[in-house]
Amino acid sequence: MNLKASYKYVMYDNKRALLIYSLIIILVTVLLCTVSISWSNGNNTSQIGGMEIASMIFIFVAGLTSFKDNFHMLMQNSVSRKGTFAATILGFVTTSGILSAISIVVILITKLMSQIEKNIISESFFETMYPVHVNKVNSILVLLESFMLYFVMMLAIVGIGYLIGVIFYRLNKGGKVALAIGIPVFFSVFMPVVDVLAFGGRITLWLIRFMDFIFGATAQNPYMAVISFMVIFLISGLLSWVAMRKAPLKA
Amino acid sequence: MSGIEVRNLSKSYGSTQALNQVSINFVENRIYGLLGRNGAGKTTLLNIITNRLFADSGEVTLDGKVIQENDIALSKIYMMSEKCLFPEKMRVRDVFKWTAAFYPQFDMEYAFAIASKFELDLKKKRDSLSTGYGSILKLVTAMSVNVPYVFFDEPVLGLDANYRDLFYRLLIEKYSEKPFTAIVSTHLIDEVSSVIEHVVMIDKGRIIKDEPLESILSQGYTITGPASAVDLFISDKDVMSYDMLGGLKTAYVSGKVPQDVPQNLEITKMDLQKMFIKMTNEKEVSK
Repeated sequence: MNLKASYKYVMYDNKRALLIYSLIIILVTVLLCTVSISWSNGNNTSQIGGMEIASMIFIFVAGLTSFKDNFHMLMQNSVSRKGTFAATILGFVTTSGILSAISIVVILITKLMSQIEKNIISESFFETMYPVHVNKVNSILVLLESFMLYFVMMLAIVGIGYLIGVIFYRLNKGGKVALAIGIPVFFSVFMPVVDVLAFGGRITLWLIRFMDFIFGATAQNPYMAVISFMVIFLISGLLSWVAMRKAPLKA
Repeated sequence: MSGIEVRNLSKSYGSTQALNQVSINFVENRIYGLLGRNGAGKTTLLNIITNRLFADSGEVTLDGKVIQENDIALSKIYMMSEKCLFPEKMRVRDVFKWTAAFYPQFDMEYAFAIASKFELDLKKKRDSLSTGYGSILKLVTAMSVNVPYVFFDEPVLGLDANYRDLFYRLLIEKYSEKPFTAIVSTHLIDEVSSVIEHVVMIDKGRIIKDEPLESILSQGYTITGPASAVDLFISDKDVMSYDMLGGLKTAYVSGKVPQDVPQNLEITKMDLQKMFIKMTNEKEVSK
């Protein structure tokens, strides 16, 4: 299996977007901190945080759009579907690792700024989700756990994006339109209406409880989230493989 | 069994039977012409052999090993497809660079040399190339990979006469220096007939001819001369078709060359394209 060349190609495809995104996110963080320092003027407080969400959106889009071009280029170079899949997964692991590391760098920058200017409050996504847990452990462990959580969250998100990309590729024109319209309509119109009219809001309540469970928010246990997102990544990966293992080349 | 062996391959798209129990061998170091009309099943066959599509039934092997999803077997094959699969924004030079990453035997020096012969700009992005130059990019890449089996699907699409001629000359040159198996799928039969050694004709998803070119051409002949003399000569013969030019008539006749040819008539080799037209029309009529 020409895994090395395939992996290098998959990463080459991501490299430029990843570099531009990383520079922008670090620059935006520095800019926000600078504006907050000058605006605080010793009295006003400002809160900076949640930049990790931007990385998660970035990696979702990367997963969504990566299938077709990579599949075509690797097919042109006689790489099997299993080779393509293995290189893609390795690429996702690398990209998720890099983006998680960048998220930690961004958190460190905002923490540093909050040390310089006391009116700046820096709170990461991890700290917002697990305030009780964060108070119990030291700051190094918080950073390590944050990295671990962001890493598996990004893997799960890119896995879901990739799965949608593969399904889209395999559908015919009508199926693509139905899926593109059907999913947003189902979640934003159909489900809320049915939930209110037929279930008295119990579906929404169940969804909230489910999200709470997979994040381990009430239990204040980030490892529940790590396991949950790892499972989501494995399931989305498995489904992607099932969808692509017999994928014909559409050109 | 060495070479590529296709056994009982069938593939259908809905109610359309693209391939019907196709069996064929492509042996080492030979130039094949895969000839067929539009929609005959040429591209489907090549796409299945190169693992791009899956057959409904049947099997393709290379040196006895199944090709499907087999990276080792696939590394001995390259397919220049009609559609361009390189990323739109990739530059010509980068296409060569990446192909070399997947095919270590890729001859970069040769690629640059023939790209220059075709006046292909190495700095251009793939999506800025015209149809003809898009074909040239694919051709140059396919000619430089140096693998035992190279498939060319409509290789001269959009190329002018000079570049088509250049491609055929380069193919023969390359083959003479270092033999390999080239399978050229085309419907430009006249042009390719000077290059190929073996003919595979496909019609409506079935192989209707699989023979050396010489053997096919020996199954008929062309006779030229004054119209009245030709008409008299062919009156009891199986005539595929004829052309008229002024008072001269050329008839394409099936069968062995007769001994008693009048002196005012000239006998030459059969024309592959005429043979092809007859064969594919015959199938249509018999159906």
